[in-house]
Amino acid sequence: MKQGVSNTIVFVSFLIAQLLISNFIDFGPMLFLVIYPLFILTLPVSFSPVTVLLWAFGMGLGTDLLYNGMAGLNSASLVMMAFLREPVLSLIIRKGELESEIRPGMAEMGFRRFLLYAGILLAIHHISVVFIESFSLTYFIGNLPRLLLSFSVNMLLLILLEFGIFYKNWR
Amino acid sequence: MAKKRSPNLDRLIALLLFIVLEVFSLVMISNSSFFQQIKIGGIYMDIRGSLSKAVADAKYYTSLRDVNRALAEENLRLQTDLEKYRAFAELTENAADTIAADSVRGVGINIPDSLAQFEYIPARIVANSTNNKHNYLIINRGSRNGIRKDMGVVSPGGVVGIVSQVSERYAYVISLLNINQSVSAKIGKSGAFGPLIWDGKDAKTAVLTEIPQHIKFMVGDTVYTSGFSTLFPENIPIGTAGKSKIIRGTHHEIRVRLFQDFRTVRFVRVVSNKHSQELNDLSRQYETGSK
Repeated sequence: MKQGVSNTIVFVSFLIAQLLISNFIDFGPMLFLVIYPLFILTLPVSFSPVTVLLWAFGMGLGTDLLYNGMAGLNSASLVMMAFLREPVLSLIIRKGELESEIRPGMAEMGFRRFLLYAGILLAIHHISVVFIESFSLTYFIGNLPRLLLSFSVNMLLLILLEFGIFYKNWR
Repeated sequence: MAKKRSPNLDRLIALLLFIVLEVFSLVMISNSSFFQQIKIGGIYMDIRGSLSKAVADAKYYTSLRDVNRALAEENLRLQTDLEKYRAFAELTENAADTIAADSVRGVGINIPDSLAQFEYIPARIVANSTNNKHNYLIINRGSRNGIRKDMGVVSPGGVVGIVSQVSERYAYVISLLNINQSVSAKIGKSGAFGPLIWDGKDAKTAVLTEIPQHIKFMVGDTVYTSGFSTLFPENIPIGTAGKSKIIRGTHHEIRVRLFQDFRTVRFVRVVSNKHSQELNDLSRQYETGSK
């Protein structure tokens, strides 16, 4: 119950932060900034896949409805990412950690494992964003710079956020 | 703790939920006009309006210099146009005495307002983006101000977009910077026209396609709206021609440097075409007649 409340607070703060970022920071069509994947990435390991999917859908839908982009884009790609979270997590997490209540963050997993975990899932998210946007593979070459640039910038942003906000508090 | 279920059942439920949520999102994407309606119709716009007002005002204040310059340029253009008409009016005044004396007074002929095919409704942009492949704008005029679906939106810098959804006080505009959008445009004075589309690479350039290969043009030629759609009047300058290449040996594909900077645009005008109903009816009649 307590976890539900604190999760809701984190959810709302991520949503507000994401809306502020997408409404007021604009670097043109080659770069989109997202921070909401961090919320799904760091949900506790003990959460069932169904719960993670529902949180992800809520976050995506919130962003879609409150931001004047293409409706449904964020929820589709975030749900995709949330669905693949468990397999990726089971690849990276150590035995025994899966049953505990840990939050898969930088403090718990260590920098390199967290980098790998976040990198794989963020790549899945970005690839689905770019493909759903253009709905085909024909623009793949044209979309590649957008994909790579956004991925690297968002990865950096995500690491900084995780380090700056959560790392110290959880130590 | 709930009773232990088999992990396979859990996995199946997760898979089903995943499919349901994905399908819902994809339906939302393919049916986005419906969801756009929800977005501008609800209380969200009120909240957003009050929240972002302070930031928007601050942004506006810092961009006053650019706004002033744009207004001055627009003013100059209008003044030159006015001089032209004034001269024309004087000419007709001297030449033809048939015009009633009371209709020719000082500034020229009293042209009735109903003569103009296009009317402009001024509006302010409430929300805007340039960092997606599908960019949209929200303007603060809606059905209450006479805005309807499928009206063109222009600014002093050229074409901005086309109205997609209208609520009572707001309208949702598909920006020219949207890969699904196209505007009929022509190059220079040659009159060769084709669809102007955005390729999603750069907020400052668009691509003019399907210009026949034999058409001669120079880098730096101005690209105007063609006036062949009911949305925009003819000869609105959009941008200048840049690099071009020939596609499949038959037509040019020209990169157009847009006059409009979509990041700083604040004030727009919605084009209301009084003849659009008539024109659409006519083309519909023709289509049904030819079948």
